[in-house]
Amino acid sequence: MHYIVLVAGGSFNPVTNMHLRMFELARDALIKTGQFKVLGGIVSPVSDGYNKPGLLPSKHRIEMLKLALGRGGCSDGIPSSWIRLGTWEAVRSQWTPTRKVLDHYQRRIDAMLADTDEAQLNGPPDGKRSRIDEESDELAWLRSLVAKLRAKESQPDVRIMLLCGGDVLQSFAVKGVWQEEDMVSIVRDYGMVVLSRPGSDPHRFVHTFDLINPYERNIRLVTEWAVNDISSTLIRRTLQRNESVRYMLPDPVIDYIYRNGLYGSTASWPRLENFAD
Amino acid sequence: DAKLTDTVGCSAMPVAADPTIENVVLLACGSYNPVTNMHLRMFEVARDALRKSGRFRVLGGIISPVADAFGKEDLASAEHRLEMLRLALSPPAVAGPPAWIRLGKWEATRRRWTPTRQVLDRYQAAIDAELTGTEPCSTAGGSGGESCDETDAECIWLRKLVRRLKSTAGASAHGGDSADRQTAPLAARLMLLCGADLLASFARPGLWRTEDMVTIARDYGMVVLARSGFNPQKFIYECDAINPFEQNLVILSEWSCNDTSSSQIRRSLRRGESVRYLLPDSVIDYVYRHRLYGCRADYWHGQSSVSSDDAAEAAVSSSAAAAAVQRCSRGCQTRMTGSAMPAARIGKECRACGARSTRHVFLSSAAVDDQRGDAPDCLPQQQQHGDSRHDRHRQQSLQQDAASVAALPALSGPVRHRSHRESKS
Repeated sequence: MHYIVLVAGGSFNPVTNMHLRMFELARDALIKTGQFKVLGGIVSPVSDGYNKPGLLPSKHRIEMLKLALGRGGCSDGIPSSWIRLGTWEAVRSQWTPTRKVLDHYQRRIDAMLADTDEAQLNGPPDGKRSRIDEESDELAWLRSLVAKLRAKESQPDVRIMLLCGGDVLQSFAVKGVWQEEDMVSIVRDYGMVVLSRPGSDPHRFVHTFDLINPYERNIRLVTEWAVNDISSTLIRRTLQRNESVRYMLPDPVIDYIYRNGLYGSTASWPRLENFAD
Repeated sequence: DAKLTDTVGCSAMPVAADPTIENVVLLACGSYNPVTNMHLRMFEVARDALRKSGRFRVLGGIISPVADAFGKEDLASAEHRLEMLRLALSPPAVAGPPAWIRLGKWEATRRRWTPTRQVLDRYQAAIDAELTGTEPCSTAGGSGGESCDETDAECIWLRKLVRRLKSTAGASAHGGDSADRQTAPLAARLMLLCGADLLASFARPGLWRTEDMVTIARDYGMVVLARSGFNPQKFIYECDAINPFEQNLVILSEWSCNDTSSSQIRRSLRRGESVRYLLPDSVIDYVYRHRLYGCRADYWHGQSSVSSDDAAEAAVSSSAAAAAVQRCSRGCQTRMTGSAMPAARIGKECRACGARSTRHVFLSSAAVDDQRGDAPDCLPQQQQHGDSRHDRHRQQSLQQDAASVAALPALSGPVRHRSHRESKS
């Protein structure tokens, strides 16, 4: 039985319901195979060093993610207890290749399993942390998960897997985007869960792409039958046009966007000429 | 100018100054079984698009879920569906968007099913009454004879909207040069908001009365959201009944193609799969707390740690074996074991009391246990006192029924007006 922690990278500019849905679909798909249990998920927004035009400062993107995951304080939803925000990548000044992000989390998990994790050696052994620690430190949360797991199994196999959309997979074929050794490492040592739309044929891509084809069995392809094309680009465009983005991303995130006037939006929710009240 | 961009209207001019802009209230009907983000999103997209067209001013919206008497397979009770809608439409506790969509309970709480056109008529009657200053009962149209209830919250709200419209129209007429400006008669109407699948259902024989389709297209108008697999422009072109009123039929493109459907959500719930982020959290919470649609309560709350994954696994891998309770129109409950989704068709007789069954409620076994008793209320005395042989026989025949009906091909597409055939006058 493999225990998985799903890691999804991306701009999250802003986070949308589609991003969050991706985690849910991936988790269900892995569990259904009978070979995996999903320990948790980590959202790892890219750092400002990524230098993409229109990319909001990580401060905002992180705050919106916290609101979306129910940890920002102002939330009408139930917090997602299995998806956490990972800030390691975001706070670095330079952009970090995806493979290195996966390496980072896997190394820490391996250390926890081998009892060589520094923080673990220095801190209380039973993993009882203050609530603030839990919330701001995804590693503390991982630590507690691993500790619970080790209470049940002596030598659990805990792996990081990359969670992404079909567009990321297809970008493997674009020259200059990925280092070859990174691609190999991702599919060989970690594995991927790829969410695609019906009709996009990721199977063919895996079949024809020599570099990753040997590790085909580590690439889980999940079809998203109910297509939800809620892209961050569309959200930004809609906000720019002073049109409604409601129900495409969590209300607290929309609220944050309006309050801070992000993405060219006006200062508040669009109002009707509301006669009745 | 913050005020200018704040208002969803064409300009900062007094409201009724431009009489060519039509005042509209959007009405959406449907099962809402359960309500999804797509249902809610549809209103938002419609409002923005109508405003952008420069032809309309959206005053508000009404969601009118169908009554239980609709008799559709696995339709949760009106009580549940209304509460889920109420949760979905409540704005978040902290400062959030203004609530502009109302929940219309009239249709859902009626004993019999109401054609969509009559729902439109009813709310329009309230608007017209206020516009003409007459009592609603005298303006209620249609053979349904629907008089607008003075205590109905949505009718009261509609009348308030019209009063405000009138007062602002009066104000603008008196200001400015009234010689130049012709005060057009004030008007406001409902428009039917729906998906392209409902529009396409116009073509199904016997489903809609022709005169209803014409009335809806001609007197009310429709706002139709594109959905994958349907081509509303082509349909309007081909449908003779509504084609003459093409200018009243607004097609919305939804570029964030949102294929979320209630049936897909029910399917995922049955399979123990996650429906998170497809509908509001408060609604999901309600579904799990009341164990609707065959879902497993433990899956929702056990989301994170290793131990909870066992629950998730069990939910996903087990078949939908929840016991189903079938409730007849006299209110007795007969318990059926086995497959969770047997469909007792409209007109089926209740095994216990012989009443013709017009309402079906499916609850999970857990919810059934919560309810009192095993013996239906209306069983004759001797059976209540437990002739066990008879009970076993009854159970067997029910199971056979369940098995044979479960083998039927699944109903596809909206079947909203199927029962209309029975009530054709």
